[in-house]
Amino acid sequence: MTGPLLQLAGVEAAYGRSQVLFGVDLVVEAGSAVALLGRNGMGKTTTIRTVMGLLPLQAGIIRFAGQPVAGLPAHRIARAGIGLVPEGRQIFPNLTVHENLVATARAGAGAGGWTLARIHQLFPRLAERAGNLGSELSGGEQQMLAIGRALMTNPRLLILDEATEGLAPLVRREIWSSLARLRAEGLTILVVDKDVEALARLCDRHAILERGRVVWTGTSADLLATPEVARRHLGLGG
Amino acid sequence: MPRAALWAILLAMAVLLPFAADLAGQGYYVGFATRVAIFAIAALSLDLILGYGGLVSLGHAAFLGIGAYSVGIWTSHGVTAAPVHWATALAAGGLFALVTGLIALRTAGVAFIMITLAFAQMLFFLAVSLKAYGGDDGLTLWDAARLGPLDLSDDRTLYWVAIAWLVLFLLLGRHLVASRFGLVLQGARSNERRMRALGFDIRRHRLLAYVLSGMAASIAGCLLAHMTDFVSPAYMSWQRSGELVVMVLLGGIGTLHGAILGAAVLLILEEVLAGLTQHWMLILGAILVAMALVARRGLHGLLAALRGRR
Repeated sequence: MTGPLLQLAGVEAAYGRSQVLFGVDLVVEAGSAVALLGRNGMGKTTTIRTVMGLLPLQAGIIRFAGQPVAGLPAHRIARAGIGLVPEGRQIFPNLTVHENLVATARAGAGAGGWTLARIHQLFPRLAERAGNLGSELSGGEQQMLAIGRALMTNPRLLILDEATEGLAPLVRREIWSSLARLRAEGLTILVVDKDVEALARLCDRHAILERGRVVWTGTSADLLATPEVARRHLGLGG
Repeated sequence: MPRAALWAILLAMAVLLPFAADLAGQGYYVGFATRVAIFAIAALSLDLILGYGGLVSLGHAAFLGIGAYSVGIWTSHGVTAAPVHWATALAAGGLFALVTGLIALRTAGVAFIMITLAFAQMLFFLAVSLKAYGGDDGLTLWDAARLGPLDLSDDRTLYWVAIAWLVLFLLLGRHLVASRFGLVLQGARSNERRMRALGFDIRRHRLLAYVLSGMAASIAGCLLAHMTDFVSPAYMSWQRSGELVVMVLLGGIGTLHGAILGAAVLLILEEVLAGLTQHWMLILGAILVAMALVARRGLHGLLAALRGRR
């Protein structure tokens, strides 16, 4: 394969008549971790949903592993090797933890070789809660399950929309460290979150979305070295 | 008591029921129990798509009709081998489910209810127009179906055959819903978009469930014809489809054995209440309303709650 694992060029998307994305350009190299930043309503989730084929692409190009994926049904895009951890977790409440994991297990495009045992190694809590229904889990456990469920599809690219939103500090730390482990094992990651410091530790590159466009990209060092960027675009640091 | 033992006792009771009925001098109840077993198969098959797939079909009686007419048409041409009837019913029911499912499954919710109802009504009127096979008046079967050396016009034999089919479908159903296929189906019921985003073309899963469900219900239709020696379009009326939905809801959706319980309780209630008063429908209606209010998860859920309290 040549070129980046995921590439977006001039991506436009809309909900009905209200356009949300006005030409998003984004590159995720294989083996890298990229953060997608921006205030609420700037188009982060819309970008992810467009990549996944859950929202139609109005204009522009989306390539995954060199192949254009726009217009493919969502399940085909997922099968090409994208695992999504959606905003709000959205685990299956009527299935047990064990069932949530095995239902989606698949020898996917990635070489992850993910098994139930490896998921349990990554998140021991899921082994303890294997028999519980999805609806009986805490927020942190739900997020671990959502990540485990996505990994069980053996993706080449893991996308997380709001990786740690609404979770207790201790659980956040566990999620970030597990993502660092995945990263070290060679998984490509695209992550949305508000914790700039944690993102700077995990990711190589950062892209800031504003009103449906990428207005800034840079490395972690760039992001930390220019606090005015975070202040202006993310409303951080007062 | 371990679950397996409970099931073994229930099965033994079901198998021995004809002897008990004889001892009590109440042979009539064998026929009634056969009816329960037949509708239990139909309700169980509906629960697969309703309870696990989240697809409310108001046309499931169409498959009862397909099974019944498979028996009726073959018998009127002198073919009385039950395996031929059954194979025809499985093929015709599966094909009907495949074709109608391809169309109906493009929709969901109320539209799905309407389309399944419409297809069942089409089949109903097709049967009415089949003058060669009795049309509106139905078709009386003069020859009994045979299963090898067994004569299915014998009440007990038919009862045991029906129980055998019921047990087979229950076992197959349990296996199916616990499999990956069943889990994907259940996951898609709670969050269809999520299942698609995880890489599953759930329309194919639902279509397969719909076809399997239709095939099982067609067997119930065969057994119904074996029992009554009569076939008529009334077997696939929309009221009959509604009754099947009530059985599933009454027993508790998404449990399989709840559907069996629902079929038994609804038929027993009808029987008992009809013996008390001619306004029995009124009482039945009140009971169903009370059930809907008190036991949202059906009798199965009610029993589970009672067990939990002890």
